[in-house]
Amino acid sequence: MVTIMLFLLMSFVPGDPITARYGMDGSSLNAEQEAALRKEYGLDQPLPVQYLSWVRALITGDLGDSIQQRRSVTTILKERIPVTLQISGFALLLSVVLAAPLGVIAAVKHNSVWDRLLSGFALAGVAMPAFWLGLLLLILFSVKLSWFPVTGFTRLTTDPLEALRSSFLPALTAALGGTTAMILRQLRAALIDVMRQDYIRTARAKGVRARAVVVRHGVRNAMLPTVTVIGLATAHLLGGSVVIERVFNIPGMGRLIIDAMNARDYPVVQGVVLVITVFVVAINLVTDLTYAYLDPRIRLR
Amino acid sequence: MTENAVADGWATPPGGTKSKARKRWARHFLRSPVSLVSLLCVLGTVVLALGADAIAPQDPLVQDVRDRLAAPSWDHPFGTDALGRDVLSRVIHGTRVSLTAAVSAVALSALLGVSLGIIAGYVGGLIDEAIMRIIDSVVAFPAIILALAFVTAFGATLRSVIFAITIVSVPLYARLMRAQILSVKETDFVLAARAMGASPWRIMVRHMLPNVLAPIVVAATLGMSYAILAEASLSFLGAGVQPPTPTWGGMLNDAARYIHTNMYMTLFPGAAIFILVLSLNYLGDTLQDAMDPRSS
Repeated sequence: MVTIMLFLLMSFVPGDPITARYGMDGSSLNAEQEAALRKEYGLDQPLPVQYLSWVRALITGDLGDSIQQRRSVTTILKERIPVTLQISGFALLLSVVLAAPLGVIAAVKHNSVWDRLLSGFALAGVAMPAFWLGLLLLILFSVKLSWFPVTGFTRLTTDPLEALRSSFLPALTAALGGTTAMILRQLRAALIDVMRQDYIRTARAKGVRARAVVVRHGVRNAMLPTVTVIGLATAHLLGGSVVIERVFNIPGMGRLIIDAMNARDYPVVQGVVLVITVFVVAINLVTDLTYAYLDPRIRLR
Repeated sequence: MTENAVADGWATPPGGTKSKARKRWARHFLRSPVSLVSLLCVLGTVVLALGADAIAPQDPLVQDVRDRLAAPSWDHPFGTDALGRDVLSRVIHGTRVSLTAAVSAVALSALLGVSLGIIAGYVGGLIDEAIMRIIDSVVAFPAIILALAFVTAFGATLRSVIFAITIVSVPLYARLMRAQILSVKETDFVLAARAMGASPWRIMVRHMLPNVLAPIVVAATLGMSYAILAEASLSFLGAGVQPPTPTWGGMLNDAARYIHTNMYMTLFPGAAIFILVLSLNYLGDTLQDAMDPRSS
């Protein structure tokens, strides 16, 4: 569905990959060479035919060749996917680690100064454009303090420590510029709601220690709606990678899709869109499964 | 999350006349200084956008190569950019693209979303199913990439930016509206209207719409801040309104190249986005509280 939509959308683009690569005026190519190139990449076929042949190849695991880079899209994606996953995964980890305790504090000390401060922090996080935050962090920590590299990216597999150092700022940016706030607000709202329930009063009346009431009875139940938001946040991180990877000059999928769109490199655009769609579907599936795991009532049904 | 909160707040329509409601709103704004400041920030931005030519100290496009990448000074309170243009004037003129894009996108998407939501909620059945499936598939995909693809396809102009933001915003209003319609569909006043032989059109527009519009107003306020962020992101990625027209996102895109030499280029346009978006969010929250009968 999404792939069809994007396929159609890209076909509206004025100019095709050939003109994008060899110049719009076509001075470097004569008409015959142009036609031959179009034929080689199947661009002379009608759109539905192009789409069907793409789907047919997809079933065999072949995403076609990049017109710009002259390599197979699968190879390019294999290089880029781990990069984006490394940053997004790190960002998700940071968001949850930051949001979980803060959300609990805000909910337990509901209406206190702490709650106000944290809510303000969450509101600011939602309003903060990620690219601005990223640039500010770069200026402060990389340019002024030189704690982190300004650009460059190291893979987890080549050098884990350097990888953490090079992905920390991008991950922190992605986390603070949205997802932490999303999770924090949801957890706070859910926990406040849960703490008003009768079973919490019952637990307190039984003499369960305050901490145990919050953790075992409160947080466990507040986790349910929070898990949904964590799923949404993960999808949000994948989309946000477009911006983050541009700020920090990281060679991941976000950079890839922008470059591919500018070069009208349809096979690559299609490939990235497909991968992201698959990830989003997978995230939804994992969210649902976690839900069932956390709530026995859903499992029984 | 916002949707639920909004729905809760409006579960029972507040009684009282219009003037009473207006007084309650006014009280809400006066009671909280932050809301008042937010309101002033938003109004201030509108004034800047309307009077940009008169207010901006310089022409935002005039270049001065002898005074490039300057730090803030009396002549250039926000400094100058890589072409020696006055950053303050560019920030002021940048309000125009931001507000035009956001206001148009919110108006369009609210109109479209509300219509789709009403039809889906009221008619139900297959049509409901079809509309909501399409909307689900839009939501499932990261909005920024969809918007980016749209702008790439139709050219980086203000018009395609507006349409791109509209497309990714429609689901919010459609879902909210559908939920609202479903909640009033079986109420007595709708049944009464139907019993009196009112046409479906009349029921939808005259009886249902006025009763479910308040949450849409809140959603539209929050939608404004979303649209402003979206426009800025697109401009930052080079897929917004093209230079030399000053846009906040575009200015940050330029600034990214000069973080070593002039950090002020980064500071001010970003702060403008941040303050406007934060103010709109605060306003949205205040409106939501003001409409919640339980809070007054």
